[in-house]
Amino acid sequence: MRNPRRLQQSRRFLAAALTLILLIVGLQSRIGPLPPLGPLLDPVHGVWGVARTAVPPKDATIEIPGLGGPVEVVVDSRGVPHVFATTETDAYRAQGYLVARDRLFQLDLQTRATAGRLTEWVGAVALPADRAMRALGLSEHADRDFAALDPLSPQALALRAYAEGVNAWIDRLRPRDLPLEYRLLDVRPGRWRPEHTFYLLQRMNWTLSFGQHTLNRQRVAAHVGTAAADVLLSTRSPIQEPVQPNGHGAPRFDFGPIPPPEPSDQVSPVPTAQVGGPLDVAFGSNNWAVAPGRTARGYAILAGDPHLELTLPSIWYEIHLVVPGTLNMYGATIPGAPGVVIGFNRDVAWSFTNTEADVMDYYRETVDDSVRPSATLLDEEWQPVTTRVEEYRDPRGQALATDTFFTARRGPLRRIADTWLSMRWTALEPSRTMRALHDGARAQTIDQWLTAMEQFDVPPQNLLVADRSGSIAIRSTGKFPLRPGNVGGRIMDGSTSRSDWTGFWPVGRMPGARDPAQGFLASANQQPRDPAIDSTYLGADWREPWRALRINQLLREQTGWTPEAMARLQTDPGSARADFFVPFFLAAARESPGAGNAELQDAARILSAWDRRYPRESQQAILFELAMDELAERVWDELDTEAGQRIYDPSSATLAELLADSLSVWWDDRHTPARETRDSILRQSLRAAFGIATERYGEPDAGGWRWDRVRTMRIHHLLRIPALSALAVPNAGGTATLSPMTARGTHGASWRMVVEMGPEVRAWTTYPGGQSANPASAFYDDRISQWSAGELEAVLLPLIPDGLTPDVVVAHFSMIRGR
Amino acid sequence: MSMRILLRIVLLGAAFALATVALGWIAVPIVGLLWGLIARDTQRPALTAGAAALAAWAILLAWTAVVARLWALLTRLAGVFEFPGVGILLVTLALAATLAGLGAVVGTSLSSMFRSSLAHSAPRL
Repeated sequence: MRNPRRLQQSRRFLAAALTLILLIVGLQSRIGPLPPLGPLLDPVHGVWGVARTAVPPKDATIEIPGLGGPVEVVVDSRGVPHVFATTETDAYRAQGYLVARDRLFQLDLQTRATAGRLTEWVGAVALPADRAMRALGLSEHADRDFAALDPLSPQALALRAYAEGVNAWIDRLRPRDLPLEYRLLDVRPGRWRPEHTFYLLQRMNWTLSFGQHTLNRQRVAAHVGTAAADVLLSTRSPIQEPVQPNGHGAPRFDFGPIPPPEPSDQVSPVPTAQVGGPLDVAFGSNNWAVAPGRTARGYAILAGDPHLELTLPSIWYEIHLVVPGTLNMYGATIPGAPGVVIGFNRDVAWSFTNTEADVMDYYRETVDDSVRPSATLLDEEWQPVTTRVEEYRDPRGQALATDTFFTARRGPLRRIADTWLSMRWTALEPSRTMRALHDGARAQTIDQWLTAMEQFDVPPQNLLVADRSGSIAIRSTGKFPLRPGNVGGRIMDGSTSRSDWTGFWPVGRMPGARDPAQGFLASANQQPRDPAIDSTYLGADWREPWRALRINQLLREQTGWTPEAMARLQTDPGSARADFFVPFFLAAARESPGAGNAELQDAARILSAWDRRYPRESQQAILFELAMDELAERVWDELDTEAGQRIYDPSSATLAELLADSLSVWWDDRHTPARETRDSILRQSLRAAFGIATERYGEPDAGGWRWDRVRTMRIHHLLRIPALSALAVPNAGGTATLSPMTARGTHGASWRMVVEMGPEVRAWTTYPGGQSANPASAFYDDRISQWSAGELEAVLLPLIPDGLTPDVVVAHFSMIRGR
Repeated sequence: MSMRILLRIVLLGAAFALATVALGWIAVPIVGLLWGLIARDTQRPALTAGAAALAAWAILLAWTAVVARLWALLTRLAGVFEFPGVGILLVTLALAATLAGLGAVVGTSLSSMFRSSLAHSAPRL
């Protein structure tokens, strides 16, 4: 007979052991979205380590393999590292280390996103994004660009040194130091390869130059006819205030009639959803420079603010690199790229805006097999098609999906609807942009800088520069294709080489200006050159010109510019768009003063009291933006499908053009038997806007109509985790102001910089985020309130490591050669 | 609480802290188990282990709060997990206590079984 006491002991042991084992297994496993809780909550090696890494040591000696000499790093009170090295490669090695220290997850995520390997971290949810990236083969092209570099070239050496710096940080990273995001996803950092820098550039190319113009035009033409499409997506902006001054000294309104919608004369439309591309949000940027004759202290001043997606951490990282006698550059770098992208050295300052040029064409190909083509026809001969099989895996390594991608002679070949289209895009061709940025940072004069930037191939940019001699210049630069027949925006016949690009614009022909008589230069993504001067096809469907109008207006009106005034200009709340449209709304409302129009008259009263600015407390901005939405909704109903889906939204500049033609058939609402005119649609829109605003926000005077309650910036964390995001950041701006804010609120001024090019260069900067990606760090989002208030901070520019006073130094690192 | 028990908790707590630093959270049930094996005859060994582990982790977290930005992190984590920050701290401490206590229970059970087995098989004189 068994001993009952022993039996009880055994049962107790088994119960306790089983419970403990189950608990340990449970703590080691992911449960739903939760990472394994055991490792996460470990007080030493777990998530609490994030709090410790948020406070860098005040003084530290760091060993970095490959360093040629000692490097001193001083981190100032804004979290900006000042790197003092004896060689350029050491400076980049230190930069890689510092950027990895502050932004490792961002580096890793961007690389994975470009390579189309996000599913390996987050599973099937990332499959569409990964498919879009792999279809384009951006990472393959980046690998190829790096492989083509001379291994002893300064760029290759810089990339290698930078990678060594990043990996030095990764190598010394203990599990307890892992950034929060790795812990939440339960993944580990990958090694950084030199070619990953090209991945980032390719991602930027995709963001800034992956155009939808051709396919949009195709769809619009199929819907309302070619003649209308050619104006709705015109190669000329109806309001001309070009990057290259056209001598008018004022905007030129080039309005003409918009051809009426006609039955389609085109082949079936191409659904954009099958093509893929960046979200249709307001990318854009501003930059301007004022010559010494128009500034208070007699020095050239340059200002720049690129508008991109705002994220936490920010797309930019601020750094100062000094190699005595060789290099002294300061500015914003993209984490993952050595050097600075936008910034200045002791002699030259520069900033970029996107040119919006059309650098992509589609070709309708004749294939040998409609399912798995192995060749395309060109000039009666079959050209081989290469095949690439891509497999997507989940975090456990299991296959999620497999795609076969085809590449034809001109580029990626895809079947869209029933058509095989190949694509040629300058971003998929060898690029010298890295070399341009490298050489530009060493320039001492505008001439040297512009020469260096001749190598800036993609993405096309309006390159603005000012130097200490007082010169200013701008040039729209990039590989601009020369097309047969000077025609773009069409799907070309791929079966003949006569459809191919005949070359690229020579530098001398690119839009630009230097030291113009007007004493300033500005760009805001508007059409670079007035087509009345040169009508060579550069692109179409240009960004709305309102920001350009506003900048030019203010720069023309005033002289005696100071850096402080320049900084204020970057957040000027005035709107040229409102200046243009409000009088039309008011005039239309005045024509209908009768009874039954109380809402319309109330709306008109509110709008007439508006100074057309967008301060945070603005009441009228709400009404105006709603009215503009209602107006576009009513006017462009001809562009709706039968299911009510809008196939394309023409720009408000096109809408402005239409205002000049009060009886155009475009004003007619197809859904009513009556024939509407411009003014009746304007009245309807204003009345409807007032009704919507009242319904949503209460009576106008009840306090609910406040711009900053209705629209704010939404700065998402890279993983879109709300608690790590800043989702209600006020901004004194609207859809077309200089600090723009669309309804999505996700894009805006990602970096603001003002530089005065005096004997001693002075500069002021900020961006909506902070230097550190660690959410526990004081530098995580410390600049957001400053950015929101439109304030810039003076940057510190020490010439030597001891050049800063102790009160502005938060950390000092001595980097020495390690194993 | 007698000085003896207090001293026991302090020493055991030090062992939990050192083991956590060296091996991580997984060391807590191991130390608890070892404690259970040797402390079968003490009063409430599981409770002692739980209290010592909780104290050890509390001290480790308190140290983090002193030298680093623990509260800033806790605020963020509370948002990420949509769970009160204090609750996250309490769950962390409860985890230490549970792992250590369960480890001690397993240890004492094992020890009892072993001794019982020895007593059963020992030759009678």
